[in-house]
Amino acid sequence: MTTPLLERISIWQLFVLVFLFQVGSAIVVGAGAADAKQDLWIAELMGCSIGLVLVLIYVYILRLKPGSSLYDILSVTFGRWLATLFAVLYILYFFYIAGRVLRDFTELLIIDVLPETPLEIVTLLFILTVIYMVYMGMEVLGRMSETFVPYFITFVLLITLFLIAGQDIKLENLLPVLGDGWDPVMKVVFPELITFPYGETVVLMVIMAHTTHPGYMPLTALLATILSGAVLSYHSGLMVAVLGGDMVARSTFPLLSVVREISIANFIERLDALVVFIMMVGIFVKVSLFFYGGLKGLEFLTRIPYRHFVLPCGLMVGFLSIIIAGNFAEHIEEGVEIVPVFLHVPFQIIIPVLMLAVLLIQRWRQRRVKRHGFRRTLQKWK
Amino acid sequence: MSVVTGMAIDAGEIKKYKLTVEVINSPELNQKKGGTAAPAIVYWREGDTIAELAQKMNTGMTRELIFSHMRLLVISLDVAREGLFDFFDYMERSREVRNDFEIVLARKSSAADVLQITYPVQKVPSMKLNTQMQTLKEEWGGDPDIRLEDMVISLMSPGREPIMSIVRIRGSSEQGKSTGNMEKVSPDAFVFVDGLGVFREDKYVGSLPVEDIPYVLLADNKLKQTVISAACKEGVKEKFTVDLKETGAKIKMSVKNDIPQIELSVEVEGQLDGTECPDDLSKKNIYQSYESRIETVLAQRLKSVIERVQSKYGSDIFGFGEEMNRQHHSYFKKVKGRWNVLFSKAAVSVKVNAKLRRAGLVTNTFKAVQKKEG
Repeated sequence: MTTPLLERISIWQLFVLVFLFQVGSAIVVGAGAADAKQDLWIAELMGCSIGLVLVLIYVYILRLKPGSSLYDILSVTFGRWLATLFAVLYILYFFYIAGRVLRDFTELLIIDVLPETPLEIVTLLFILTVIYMVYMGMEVLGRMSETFVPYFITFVLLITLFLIAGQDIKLENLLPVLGDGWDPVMKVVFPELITFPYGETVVLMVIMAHTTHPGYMPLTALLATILSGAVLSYHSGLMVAVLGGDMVARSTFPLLSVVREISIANFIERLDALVVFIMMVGIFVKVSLFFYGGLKGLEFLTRIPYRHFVLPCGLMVGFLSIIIAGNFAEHIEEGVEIVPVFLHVPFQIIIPVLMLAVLLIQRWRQRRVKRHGFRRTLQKWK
Repeated sequence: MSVVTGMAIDAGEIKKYKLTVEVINSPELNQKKGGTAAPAIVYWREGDTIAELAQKMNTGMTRELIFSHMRLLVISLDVAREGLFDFFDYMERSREVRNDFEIVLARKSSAADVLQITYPVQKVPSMKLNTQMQTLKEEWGGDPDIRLEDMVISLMSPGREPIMSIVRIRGSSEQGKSTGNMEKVSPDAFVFVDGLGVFREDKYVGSLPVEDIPYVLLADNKLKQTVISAACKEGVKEKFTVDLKETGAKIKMSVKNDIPQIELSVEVEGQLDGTECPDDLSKKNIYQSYESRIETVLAQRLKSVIERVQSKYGSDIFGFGEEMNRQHHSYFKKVKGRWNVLFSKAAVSVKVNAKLRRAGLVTNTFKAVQKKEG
């Protein structure tokens, strides 16, 4: 048995990873717009504040067992057999979500910029890059995110700037605020907006413990989540202000539709590539992290370094992303109706909450033993 | 590749649609090498869906057609009367077609003819018309600047009905189609803006004259600038003209006894372009009297345009329903099915606040000086 190399990422890299992970694809696909319409920004804020609780649970679990990752904690809390079962399920879940997320991006590419290219080619090129990077390790992923985040933020800000310059923003589109009450907002907040993207942060439990300054890890993760919530809410409002609630609800990729509106002096226009880049960076981080999370699970189960699995599993994820849905509507329908309820809720909420409960009980018991032990020695001393 | 700059949709004789596309002949547009050949080529074909026809155009044209630089979409009145707007779905869905072309109606000629009238300065017909509409909007507020998304939104929204500019050909459209049209000081044919088409649901129901367009835009708070003339005093023939550089409208909606109340408060600001009256424009009180004249005349015209639309068409082309939805959402939700009926009954009140800021290079008009000396 070879001991796995200990890889560490810096606190700033963790911040960037969490931010890109949460904002990356959520900013483009506009989840929840169909029901919330012009109140989507409120729904995003609600989703973020509840999502923050989830992230808090994840980091608290990690703080209770410093230095260990999701899988280690599973075995500590649930015992060997149950932990193995949960680990297998988590591995399948992570690989499946990696495939789904990849499909989101390849569909965008084919719909908007590469209509003549087969899905298989786009998928293969993307997954080969992911395979290469994950093979090089988590530190490379951290450095890549660090490199791309300035471009990401610049492009996101440029969109706002161009929309202001082109006078495309009509704030009256945001009215009436909560015209139909809280119902349509709450309907999308749970489970759709909490699980996507905040609940998905559960996969970061695999790497979050391995930072250079574990003490700052919880604060970093929470701040990054708050920033993503603000960015997502702001962009939901922006999309509605430009297109109107109904158009956002009907649009396949609302941010793309928004950027297609930009036309300044017949010169700055056709900026679809901006959105494609934004989504590419986000999806790259997301696919890599889910993929890495699954691989680490295999490493945990087999005690073989994960690098042995990278190529075969990567090709499987790519293949999965192609076969999970025969067409785009199937892909979206599954993503909105089935995946959040049957996959996201158990893996992102139920199991972590169980883990936390078990850990707290264990700690309570240990403390009691300690206290009683202390008393006993006290009595002896008397 | 061939770049499509314009599309015209007529009702077909055998099939549902007749689609005409205009493709530019790019060497002709070269400043140095351009000769006297036709700047654009059009080809038409009939079919049942526009999406299918768009792919079929190579039955007559050589290269792959690219629709992403389309500048103009002309729709014939026949198609508009029948409400045959099924093709908007294709345009919204297509990744090539963008939201940046003009949509106009063609009156008294086929839509295809409009795509073929050449013009000396901008040789390609659809590019000429696109620039013309843009300039008209900027200079006088004579074009509602309707784009694909605006059309789709007004077709979807229960609180707004679609409008579209109408263009017409002046002169002989047959002669206008030749390059010879570009060689004359007075071209044989001209495409000009002839009014505003009013729709109810998706069907064309009638039109408003060109003169009303700025007021329609003003009621919707979409007007950039326009020009207004008014008699200097009540009952006087001589008029003065003001260039309204800044315009804005605030709409307040309310409901009284189930009748919607529309309160428009309009703010305009401008400068004097010319006067026919012997008024001393170095005096403050003349400014004030002119301002109050603008206020009365503008309010009158605005009100008359809205009331005409209410009584004649009963179609909320101003988007008052959308405003009602924003301000009284629960009320609008109840009545959105019959909003047009309520709109035609609505009470309209208009308040105008006009500011005349300056009067050009001359203070006192020569007429006033003449009178004093004479």
